[in-house]
Amino acid sequence: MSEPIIEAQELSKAYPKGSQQTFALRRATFTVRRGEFVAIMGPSGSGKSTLLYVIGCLVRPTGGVYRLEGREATQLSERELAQVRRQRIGFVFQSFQLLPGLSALRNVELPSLYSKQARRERRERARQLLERVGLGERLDYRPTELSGGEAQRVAIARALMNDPALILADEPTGNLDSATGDAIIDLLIELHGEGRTVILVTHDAEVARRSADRILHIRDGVLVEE
Amino acid sequence: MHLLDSMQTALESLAHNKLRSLLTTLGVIIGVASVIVMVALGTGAQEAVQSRFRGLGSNEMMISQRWQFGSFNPGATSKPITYEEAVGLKDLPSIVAVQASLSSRGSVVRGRESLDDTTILGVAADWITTQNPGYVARGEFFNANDVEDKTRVAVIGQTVAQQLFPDEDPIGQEVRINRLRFEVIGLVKELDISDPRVDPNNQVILPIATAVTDLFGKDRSVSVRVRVRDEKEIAAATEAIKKYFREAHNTPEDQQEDVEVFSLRQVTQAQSESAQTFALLLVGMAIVSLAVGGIGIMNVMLVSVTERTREIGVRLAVGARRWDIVQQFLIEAVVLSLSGGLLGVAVGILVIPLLTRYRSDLAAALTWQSIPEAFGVALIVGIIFGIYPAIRASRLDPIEALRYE
Repeated sequence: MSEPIIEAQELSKAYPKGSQQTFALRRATFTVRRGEFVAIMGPSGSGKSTLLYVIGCLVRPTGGVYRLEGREATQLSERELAQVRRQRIGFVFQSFQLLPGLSALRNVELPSLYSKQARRERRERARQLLERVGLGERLDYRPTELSGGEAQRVAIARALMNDPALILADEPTGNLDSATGDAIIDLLIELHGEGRTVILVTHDAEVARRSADRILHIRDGVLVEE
Repeated sequence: MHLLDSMQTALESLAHNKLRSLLTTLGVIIGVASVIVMVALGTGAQEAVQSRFRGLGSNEMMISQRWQFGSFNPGATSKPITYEEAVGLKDLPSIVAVQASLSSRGSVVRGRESLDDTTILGVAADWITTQNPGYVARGEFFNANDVEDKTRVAVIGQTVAQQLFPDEDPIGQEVRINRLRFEVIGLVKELDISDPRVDPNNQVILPIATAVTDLFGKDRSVSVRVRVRDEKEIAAATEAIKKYFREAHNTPEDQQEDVEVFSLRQVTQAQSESAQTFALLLVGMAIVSLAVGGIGIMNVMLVSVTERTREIGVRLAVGARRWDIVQQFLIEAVVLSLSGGLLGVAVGILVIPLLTRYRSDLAAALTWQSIPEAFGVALIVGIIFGIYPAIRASRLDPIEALRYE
C-alpha cells in the first residue's frame, strides 16, 4: 500500500444562506493513496464539485482537517495554497475553461506564467504536451476553432503543464459525446498509468466503473464509500 | 508572475477587444491632448509678451500708441508718436535717455537680386549697447553723427548678405531700399532662430532719423523706450510723459491720453497674474478631463471583470495568487491610460502646428516638459481608477467564478 496523498477528517464546507448555513459538504472522512484513481459520484447539487475544489485547495473547508501530501492545507496561507495549486494540482473542468482570447499553446502555458519558468522552456514544454495529447498541429488554434474533444485535450495538457501529482477532473466528459468522452477517459487512465493520482467527479456510473480503482458516493454533502 | 508576462497578458486581453480599448482611451487621449495644446498656447502667449519686453530694464519704460483708443471712445482718434515728439521727451526732467525705434517690412534690392519681407529696423546709435557684445560680426555700427546727419548707411543681417552678396564681402557695397541707395557698413552675426516663422537674420538696421525721413515719413508712429535715473521716479515720469503727449496731441480733457506707458514691473505683474489664472484654469481642465477619462477606464474595467469572471476562476485554479489577479487588471488599466496618454501627446503635437497655421495670431510653443508630466498623470489616473476593479476581480469566489455563465 502506498502512502496517503489525501487525508480528510470530518471535512465540512458550509455556505451562509440568510441567517442559516447550508452544508455542501458534511463531515467527510476519507483517504486517497498516491497513485490511486478515485471516482466521486453523486447527483447534481450533491456537493461533489465542492469536494473536488476543497481537495484542490481552491476553497477552504469551514471545518475538519485536510492534509495534502502530509501538509495540513487548512493551516496554509492564501499564498501557499496558490503555490500548492500551481505545483501539485492540475484541474480539468466540464466546460474546458479555456481562455477564448488565447491560442491553444498560450492556454497550455497559462499555469507556468505563475511559476518562475523561463519563457523558452515553458513554450517548448507546452508544445510537447499538446503533441502528446495529439494536437501538435493545432498549436495556434483558438478555443472556438477546436472541437469539444480537442478543447478538453488542450485543457488536460494545461493541467499537466506544471507536472502535478494530482489530477482533479470535474465531469470532464459532461459536454462530450460518448466516443469523444471515452477517449478523454482513456487519456486520464493513461495519466494514472504514469503514476499520477486522479480524482474524477462524474455522474456516469459506466465511466466510473471503467476507470476508477475505487468509487466514493456523495449525496447531500454526505460521503459514502462503495 | 513576471512583469513581462503581466504586460503580455494585459496586451492580449486588450487586443481581444480592440475597438473597446480604443474608445476607452479616448477620454484620456482628449484630456492629455487638450492639456498639451493649452500649455503650448499659454507658453507661446507668454513668450510673445516676453519677447516684446525683452531687455527692458527696471528703470525703463516703453511708450506706444494706444491702438484700441478709437474702439473705446467712438469718434476719437489716436495720433502717432512721431520721431520728433520722441526726441522731445529728452527735455522732461526725470528722463535721462530716450530710444526711439521703428520696425517695418520691405524689400532690399541689389542689381537684379531682391529680398522681400525683410525686417527694416530704424534705431538710434546707442541701441547697439543694448545688444550682446559681438552683435556686429564685421564692419561697424553707425554712430550718433550718422543718425544726426541722416546718413544712408545700413547694417545687414546674414540672410541679406548671403542672398545679395553670395560670394562677396558686403562691407562697402550698396543696397537699395525703396529705390534709395544705402552703403553697407556692418554685418550682424548669425542670430539663433527662436520662432520658425521669422528669420531674425533677414534684417536691415538703419539710423532711425534716416529711416523716418527717407523711408517711412514723419507721421509714422515710433516705439519709444525711455530711461529714468531711478526706479522710484517711474510713477512721476509716467505722469509727465502722459501730460507731454496730451499737450502734443491736443487731447481733449474728457478723453484718455492716446499713448500707453509700460514699465517692466507693470508688465511682469500683469503677466504673472494672467499666467496664474491660466495655470489654474489649466489644472482645472486637466482634472476634469482626466477624471472623465479615468471614470471611463474604471467603467470598462468593471465590465471586463464581470465578463471575465470565468477567466479569473481559471487563473486562480491554475495557481494564480490573488495578487497576480490584482496586478493583471491594474496593468490593463494602466496600459489603457498610458496608451491614451501616448496618443494624446501625439494628437497634441499634431494639432499645435495646425492651430498656429490657421490662426496666425496664436503663438504656441510646445514645452517638452509637459510630455513626461502628461504620462505621469496618465499613469496615476490608470492606477487610481484601475485599483478598485482589480481588487474586485481578485476577491471573486473561485467556485462561483468557474460556474459563471
